[in-house]
Amino acid sequence: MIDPEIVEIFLEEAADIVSSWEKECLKLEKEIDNPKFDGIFRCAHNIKGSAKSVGLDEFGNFVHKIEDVINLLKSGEVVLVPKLVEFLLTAHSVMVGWIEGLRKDIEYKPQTDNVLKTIDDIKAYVAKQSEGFTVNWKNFGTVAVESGEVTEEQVARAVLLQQRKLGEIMVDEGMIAKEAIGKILDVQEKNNEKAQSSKKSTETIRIAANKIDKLIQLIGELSIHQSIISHSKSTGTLDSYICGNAINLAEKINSEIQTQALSLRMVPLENLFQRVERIIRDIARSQGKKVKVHIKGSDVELDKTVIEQITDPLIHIVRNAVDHGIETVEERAQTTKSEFANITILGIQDATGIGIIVKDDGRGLHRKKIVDKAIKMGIISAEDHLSQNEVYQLIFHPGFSTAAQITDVSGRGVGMDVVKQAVNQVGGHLAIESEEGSGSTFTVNLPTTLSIIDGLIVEVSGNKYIVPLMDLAEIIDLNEFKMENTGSGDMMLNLRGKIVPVESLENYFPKSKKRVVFKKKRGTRAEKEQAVIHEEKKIVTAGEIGRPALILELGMDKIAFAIDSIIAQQQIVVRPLNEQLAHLAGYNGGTIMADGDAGMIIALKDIARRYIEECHK
Amino acid sequence: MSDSRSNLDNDLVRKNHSKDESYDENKYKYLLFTVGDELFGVPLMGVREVVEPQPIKPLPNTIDHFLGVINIRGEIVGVVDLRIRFSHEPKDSALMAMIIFESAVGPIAALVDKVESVSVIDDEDVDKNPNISSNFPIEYLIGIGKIKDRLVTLINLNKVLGVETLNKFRASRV
Repeated sequence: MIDPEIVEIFLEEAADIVSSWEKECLKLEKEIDNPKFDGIFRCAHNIKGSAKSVGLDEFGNFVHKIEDVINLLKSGEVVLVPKLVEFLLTAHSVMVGWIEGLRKDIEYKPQTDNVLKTIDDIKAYVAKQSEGFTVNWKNFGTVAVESGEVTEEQVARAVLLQQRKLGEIMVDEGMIAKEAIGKILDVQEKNNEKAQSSKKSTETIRIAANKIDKLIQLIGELSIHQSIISHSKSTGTLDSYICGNAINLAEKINSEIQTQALSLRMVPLENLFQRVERIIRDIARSQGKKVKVHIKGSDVELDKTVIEQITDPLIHIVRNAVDHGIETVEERAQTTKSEFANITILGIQDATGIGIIVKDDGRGLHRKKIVDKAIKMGIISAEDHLSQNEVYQLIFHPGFSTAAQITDVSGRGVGMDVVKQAVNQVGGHLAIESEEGSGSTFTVNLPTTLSIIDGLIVEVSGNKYIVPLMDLAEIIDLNEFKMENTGSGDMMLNLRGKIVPVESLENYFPKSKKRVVFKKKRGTRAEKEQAVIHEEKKIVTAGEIGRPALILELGMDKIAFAIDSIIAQQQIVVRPLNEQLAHLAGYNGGTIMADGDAGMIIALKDIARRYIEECHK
Repeated sequence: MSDSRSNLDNDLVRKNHSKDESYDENKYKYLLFTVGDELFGVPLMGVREVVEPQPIKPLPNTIDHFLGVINIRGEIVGVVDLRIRFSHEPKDSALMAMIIFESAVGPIAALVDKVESVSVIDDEDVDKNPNISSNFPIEYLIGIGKIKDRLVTLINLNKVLGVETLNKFRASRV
């Protein structure tokens, strides 16, 4: 009997092992002349043992067969050739698929025939070799045709049959009526949807044990101080030095717990980078390009959700780098570059957040090609004089692709705009640097975590809102500028030589005509004290600024939003909005303000973007 | 919330179903509340909690009966004024309460004039096809329940509130 819960644990573990399996494969490939098989052998052995112990015998047997091959490699009976690394990676893909499948359906079993066939071939090869023969790998069909038992057409038909869906076969065999299939498919779909959605809530995360230890220790400390405080309360000595001290310490520990708790969501970039390395390798191989991948900073940690969000964009960037950026071997031979192209994947952490850099030494972005294409598409006109950066921004235009030929890897022009969107969505920023002939660098800047941001509390038409500080380029005082009419009733000003439109945020967030129904009751003394404390904590940045305006920078454009006043700057714990509130236009999150009321975070960037798009129309 | 408890006693309509083992009383429990002078009932299973009216943070550019957001223990929840939604005069009183519904799109708070009670209303006491008109889609109407001398409009409010959009597009530049 297979216990689903235990299988769950196994799958977590297996996913980890399989991931190191991939890493070992990539290592083997680099050291193909002097390979060490201990790592991959350990992986195979562990996964086999775990699979069998939870009752997944088929999985275990499959890995066991691969282990046989690794044994042959270890003993030196078979020499490691690129094709064998390929085989080990194929086995990896099968296992990944298997694990994914098992998550949804405990009975899942993938198609393993190809891999098993290869294993048999390898074993047969070893057996034959000792007799002095060499045999090329052939699949069943080829051998069958060669033996004259069947014709090629028959094999083709058999292959076709193999690919048929189970339902179709059942209908053909008369086991089931055609109409019933539709119903079954409906039920299956609904069931799988449910399985998928229930899956979400049980999403798990692996956490380093020391992080939890630290958290437990902090909570222990906190409860000591808490007991001092409650003791003081019962003895009426809340004003004592000891109690004051305890309150201060509790506050400090509290903020540490917050930091620690948030760090639980942080995972290293290692897995992401490994996946990217594999993709680079696969594409380079399929296109016959020679690429060396350098990875640095894979220990940098990032919020798990952010990593999930940027996985696809990053994969797209490296695909482009290999497909468009890197020249073919022949092309490279005509330059002074070495035969091997270099792609560097870099993870860095600084004060503002995390940066992921993809750098290649390929042909770089072709300025003329991009401009020509943009003119042809009507995005710009031939008279436009664009700065280098403005030219690069063009590739983020929907439907833009300069690839002369569409390959199955990239070049359909759906891509860079989606990449940029996805990066922006997690509050990140995408930058390009490139030099024709010597390569391009894509930099993805990301906030470390989505959960805590620096926010500016501002007042607009009498209501308080929060604006993420990272959205803002600067804050100016409109009194220091001379505002001019634009001719269409709007205002503009001259900011260090750049013309900046001035929008009043009041137009976007007008005074609500609804009454605020309930004022907060501040009855008890404790609550009043609390309110005073929060009052004191405000870092008032207003005062000197008479008519503050927030300046946003979007690419080359700047826009100023006039507001009533700035109330404070503080750290904001972002609460995601539920589905109903998420549809409200103009906000991208909520928070609980210091006075305990709910507050909304304004999506100022979206508003600015929409304004600028409107202007360009 | 003891002050908003009602004169409709809990045990008014409880019947003896102990013989039938498959009978799940929770399925027939309704939370009764009044809006204006109308008595409504919602399935208790769709209700998360009932709270005192919380201070509301108003949001512009939204439909008239969407009052804004409140803080429910750190969670941000939207508030719908059922008095406006059901075309009643929004007159504040000490008995007002917020019912937090668990809808498909997350929790939603509904402001009502008074929470009456939790009552069991069996299927046989519910008229599923009443001859009345209603200002919300008929598919969300469960029926009209009969409790002693009163009639209760039974409605799947958690579902209705979940499908309503809150944006008021015309007035908005956003």
